[in-house]
Amino acid sequence: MDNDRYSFVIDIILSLVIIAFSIVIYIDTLDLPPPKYEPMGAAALPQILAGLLIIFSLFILIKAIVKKQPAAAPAEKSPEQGDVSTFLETDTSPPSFTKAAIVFFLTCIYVYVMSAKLSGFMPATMIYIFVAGSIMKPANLISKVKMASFAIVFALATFYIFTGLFYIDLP
Amino acid sequence: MEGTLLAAFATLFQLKPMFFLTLGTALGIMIGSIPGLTASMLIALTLPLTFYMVPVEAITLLIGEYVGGISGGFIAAILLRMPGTPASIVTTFDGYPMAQKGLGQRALGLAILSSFCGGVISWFFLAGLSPTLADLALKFGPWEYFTLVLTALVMLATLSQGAMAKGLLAGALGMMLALPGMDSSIGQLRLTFGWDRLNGGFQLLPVLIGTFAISQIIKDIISIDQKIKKVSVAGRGLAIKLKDLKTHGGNIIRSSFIGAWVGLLPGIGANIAALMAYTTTKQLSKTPEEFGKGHESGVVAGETANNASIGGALIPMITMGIPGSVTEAILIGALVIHNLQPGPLLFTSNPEIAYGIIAAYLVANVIMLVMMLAAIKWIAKLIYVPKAYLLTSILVFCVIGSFALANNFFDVWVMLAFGVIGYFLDLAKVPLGPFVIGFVLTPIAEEQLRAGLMMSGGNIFDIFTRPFAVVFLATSVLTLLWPLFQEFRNRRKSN
Repeated sequence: MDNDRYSFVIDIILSLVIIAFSIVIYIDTLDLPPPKYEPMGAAALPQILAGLLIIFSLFILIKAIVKKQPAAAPAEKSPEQGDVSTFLETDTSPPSFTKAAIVFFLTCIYVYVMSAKLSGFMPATMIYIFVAGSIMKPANLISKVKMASFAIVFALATFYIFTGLFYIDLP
Repeated sequence: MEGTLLAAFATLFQLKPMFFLTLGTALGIMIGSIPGLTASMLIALTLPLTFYMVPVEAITLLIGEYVGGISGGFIAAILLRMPGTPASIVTTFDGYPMAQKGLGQRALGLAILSSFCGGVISWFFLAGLSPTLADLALKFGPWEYFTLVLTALVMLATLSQGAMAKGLLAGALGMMLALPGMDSSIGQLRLTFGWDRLNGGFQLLPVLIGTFAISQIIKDIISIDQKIKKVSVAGRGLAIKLKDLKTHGGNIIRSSFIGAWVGLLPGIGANIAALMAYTTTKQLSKTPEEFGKGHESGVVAGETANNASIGGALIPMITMGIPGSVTEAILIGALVIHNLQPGPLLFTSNPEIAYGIIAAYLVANVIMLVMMLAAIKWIAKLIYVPKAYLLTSILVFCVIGSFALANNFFDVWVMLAFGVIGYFLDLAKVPLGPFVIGFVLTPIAEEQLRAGLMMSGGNIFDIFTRPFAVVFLATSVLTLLWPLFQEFRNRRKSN
């Protein structure tokens, strides 16, 4: 997908999600009691913000649709004109969206396991670091041994430092 | 003032505060030097560790992290052309070409010197302006505060990088997400959707950790397979002399002024300060064509201004409780967690904290200079630390940090949810600064607006009877209209 089409799709999704979110919020505030002891009441600010969010989202939506129309190619920017990110080194390696999604999912499992008291902090952290680390950088047996050692040392050290030094009760 | 500032320095030079300041600066330099990890992420992550610390020690740790974090960013910018922090983007323009020409050490040396000078010069702004502004802010009532917060939010949304509509949307969305829970004025529950867990609303710390740390880690994992090109730093010493202060003195002073003033304005971060100083230096240079090819003045301008912006950004935070940038928003959160009210009363009720911040900022710059001069070669090796070890450790710290707030997992889930929100907002090029600062400032804005309305019997036009409030309101209207006017003018010109 080229950059323009990608931005168009993202902007459309963003606007529609925010509009839907604002409508849900607005409807929820209708049940709040009217102001009694002071002029504004609890519902006013959420309603104003919901209205503003809808206006800004519509603006982004319309702008995205209008921008989609064919236009002249934009002139190249010089450094002082703004978008500094264009000057950063780019790498051709493919982005690892799958790895990011798997690690995030693993993090959710790690949190769930501790919150449901299926495991304590130390064993859960050891397994989590080893698995997440191996997914991020799959490597040979020596690297896996290194990662496993790191996971054990890290889990033990953090547990004793946080509970003993910072008085934070870990699960 | 002098007496209180001296007392703050005396407190700071005691063993424990000095230890925490040194530790914070060292951590900041280390984290700042690693691309993808930022000062705000470090501060948000270490905040839970300060719960049991004395406030002065906690604040010195965080100020050290802030100064170190912004300074450390130039190492990867010079050696890898990857800014360690966004504040060092400009340093890549000339720092990396210098390193490629074999002048890496000279570039690192100049960056250290400039960062230190920028920090020290902006300290004079911080120490000189803060007590006066705090005195002025003591005269503010609800309308002044409400309009000031409004101005800060509008400036943040319109002046932050990216499209104005997305900046405004980010601010409004952040404000909206601060509303669930009990309304502070009349105790009415709202936007909880019948879910008891939401009665207390979303806590600041999980929101901050999620928005900045988790979303950044997701981005870092996505780019984890990118290869890093190593640039060797040959030779001994840093190849800088005292003579450099004379050669680059004018640039350092000018860039410090730009950095400090830009830092003072809400929403314009250290990266914009550095870019403005760089552009100005290039325009005034006799050899502008050499910029971007390894010009020393480019490195000096960027690094001076980004460090100077910290001093400027701390001013509205300690005098009015208004964050100049995301990092100040987190520092405000830190003060609140320690039962301290940021704003003008801080100078009268907790002068040891207000002046402690000012003193710590100067000493952190000195510590940063000493550490960088002594250990830059070793610090530079940190940029090659394998990401798999680093990111998994940070993820565990994120979980511990959010859990430690109230020993419950609800905050951890909130943190993960805000991580996803932050990632998708970033993907849609919606700036995260206005989002977080909107979240932080909403309780103050709503409280002051409702207090003002109660005082005036519901008459909002009472704002126009207060001169400062009118000035703030006019500033926000002008800030909002200025980009539209510029666009209109540009279109007319092109037609």
